[in-house]
Amino acid sequence: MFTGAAEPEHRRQLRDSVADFVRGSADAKAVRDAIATRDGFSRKRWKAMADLGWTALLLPEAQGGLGMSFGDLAALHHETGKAALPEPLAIVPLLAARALALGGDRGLCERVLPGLTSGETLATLAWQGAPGVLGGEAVGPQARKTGSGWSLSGQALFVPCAASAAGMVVAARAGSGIALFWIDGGRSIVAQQRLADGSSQASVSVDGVGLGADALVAGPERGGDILEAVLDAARLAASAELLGLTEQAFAMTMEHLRTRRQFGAPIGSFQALQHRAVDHYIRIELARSALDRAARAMDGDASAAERSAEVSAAKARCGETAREVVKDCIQMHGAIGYTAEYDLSLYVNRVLVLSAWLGNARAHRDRWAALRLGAGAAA
Amino acid sequence: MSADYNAMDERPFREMVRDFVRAECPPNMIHQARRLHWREASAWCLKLAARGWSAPAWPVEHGGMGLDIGKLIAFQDEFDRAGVARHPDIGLSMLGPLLIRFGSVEQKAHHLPRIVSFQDLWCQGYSEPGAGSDLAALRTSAVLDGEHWVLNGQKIWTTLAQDATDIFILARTDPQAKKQAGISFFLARMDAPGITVRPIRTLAGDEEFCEVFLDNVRIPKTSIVGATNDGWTMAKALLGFERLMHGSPKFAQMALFRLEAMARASGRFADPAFGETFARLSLDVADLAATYARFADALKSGRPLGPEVSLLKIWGAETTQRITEAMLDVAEEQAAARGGGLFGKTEVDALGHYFLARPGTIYGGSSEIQRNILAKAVLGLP
Repeated sequence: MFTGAAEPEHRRQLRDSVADFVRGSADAKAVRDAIATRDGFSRKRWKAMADLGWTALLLPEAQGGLGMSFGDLAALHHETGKAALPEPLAIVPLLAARALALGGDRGLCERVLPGLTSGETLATLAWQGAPGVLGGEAVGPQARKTGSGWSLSGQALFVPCAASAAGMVVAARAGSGIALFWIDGGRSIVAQQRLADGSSQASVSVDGVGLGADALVAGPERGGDILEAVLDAARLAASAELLGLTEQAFAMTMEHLRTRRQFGAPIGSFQALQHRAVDHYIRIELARSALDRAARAMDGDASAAERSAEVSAAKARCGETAREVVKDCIQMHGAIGYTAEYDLSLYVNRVLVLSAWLGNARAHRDRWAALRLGAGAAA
Repeated sequence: MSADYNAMDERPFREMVRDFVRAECPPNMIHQARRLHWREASAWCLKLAARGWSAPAWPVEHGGMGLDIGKLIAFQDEFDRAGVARHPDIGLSMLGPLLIRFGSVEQKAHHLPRIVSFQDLWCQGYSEPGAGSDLAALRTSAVLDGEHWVLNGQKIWTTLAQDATDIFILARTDPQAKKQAGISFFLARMDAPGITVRPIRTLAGDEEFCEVFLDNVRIPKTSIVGATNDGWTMAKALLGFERLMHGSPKFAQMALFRLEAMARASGRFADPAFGETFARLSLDVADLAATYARFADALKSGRPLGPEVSLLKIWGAETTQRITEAMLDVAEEQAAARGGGLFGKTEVDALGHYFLARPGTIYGGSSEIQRNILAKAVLGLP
């Protein structure tokens, strides 16, 4: 398919290494086996991914990472999306480890980061206080300063990977700002939902959690900015993954249209199906453009608001496109497309999860409009 | 001869363009919801030519500005923001790039400067009454007679032919050959004896396109571009330029600016449902622009324009139509007002924009034909 400017060599190598990895250890059968476990993914494969450096792609080399760019990150997730890999690559490294790294507290970084990047331990991020909202204004937990440290209260919704995590970063309202904390174990899962792709999300209570001063990841003067930054990076990754999922589901469907025969002809020779397929192709190309633009904005010197706007534009386009396309992939396959055992199901289920995660298309269009068109237009 | 625009920072470049447009563009060029005739656009065109800005995308050696893709988009964006209407551009957007690629040394030397200076205005002799979407079914004939080709036939839907000084024509030079194989590409003066033009009135009420009758039209033997019977190669290349041009985000962007203006003036942004519609349309345009930039980048780096370019035309034309349909909704009772209506203090011709957007999915290969092409050539469907 058509691509724009040629990619740098190291990024092509990264893509190749993901493709090799998938061939070696993550075919559809392996993905299904992992989804059926309690974690919803394979710990063994997670460790292997960590050994390849995928859990530390963005981390500076000084902190034991690869020091790669957001463009590279998008390429990694684009490729893992094509294979519908269920491992929490957008969660542990991007939401938890990166919050710690950006916070920069030396003690916490030295104690926690190595385990997260090596794949030994898992961590997540708890922040959201209400459904359908995207930014710092929606933080659920609260923090109050005590004599020797902090006291937390409240709940966070939709925390991914909560049951598997050995610790979590918690964002909490502290005065007029947002502070970030690290909590070892000690989490209290109030309710848990299993999601379509085998992963889960939980409501987590931090009521009565008391923390020492050494648990502070970032104080209220800059915790909010770090929260936005890690959420946007995860949204970029989710957008890339959605594009990969969509492309693969679409490719499977095109193959079906070329080979499935009815009425004595391949069904792909019917114009009604051809024209719908082209509409999906166009949407996928638009999604690719929106993703490229967002990755470039994240890597460039754009303002934080500009970066957020581009990430929202990408999440809106990739999320909506994914839902639209896989829906019709089911239809074009006919009855087989509605079965759990056919591999299209892996893609449909993961698209449904990622398109809703960290804000659906509607929410991101609203955020884009507010950032880009200003309060006058959004009001 | 010209400044090195590509070396400029974007902000001063944009300011330079904006200042020029503000100072020089006549008011009758602004916010026009229809294609302008030469008599209306000539003053502006000649100013552009005098400044050396009539062909922003062409190489400098051929009289263009030689802008890189970033500057090209910024240049166009400033025009769109100011609401500058499209001027007669068929020679600049279609024939020029074709001659640069396929023309003889003499053809380039003769025609390109005359296109850039607006001395010649071109029209496109492609469609015929029996050859629309099925262009290769064309029947206009060209027969060599000594030092001349003799052309006979009829062209139709020829945009602004009544203003044109020249026409490029696809004609059949080998009646025995199969469809595409026997076609050649010709250049002719519109004042050649035997050419008759009859304008056709459109739904919008304008005479935007014409019928062109060719009755024993004799043109010099050197008027052929490329080899005899190789016209389809050029027809396709030109259709590629045309699809890239029609896939430019500028048409959708201009319409979006007008929608925004009328919606602000009439307080529609207070309605969340409209806000959602507007955000969706805005992103449809933004993602078109990003995709257009990818194609333009590939073209600049020397890769040929593939069949994928059809996606730009489909999405661009259909997005423009969706925007103009939203304009009709926002216009409420003034939706069908000929010449437009007043929204707050802002005048907008919603009906004109609606009509202007209709042919986008028909000309240059209908959206259905574009989808057929993509299904077969890109998706590999049988």
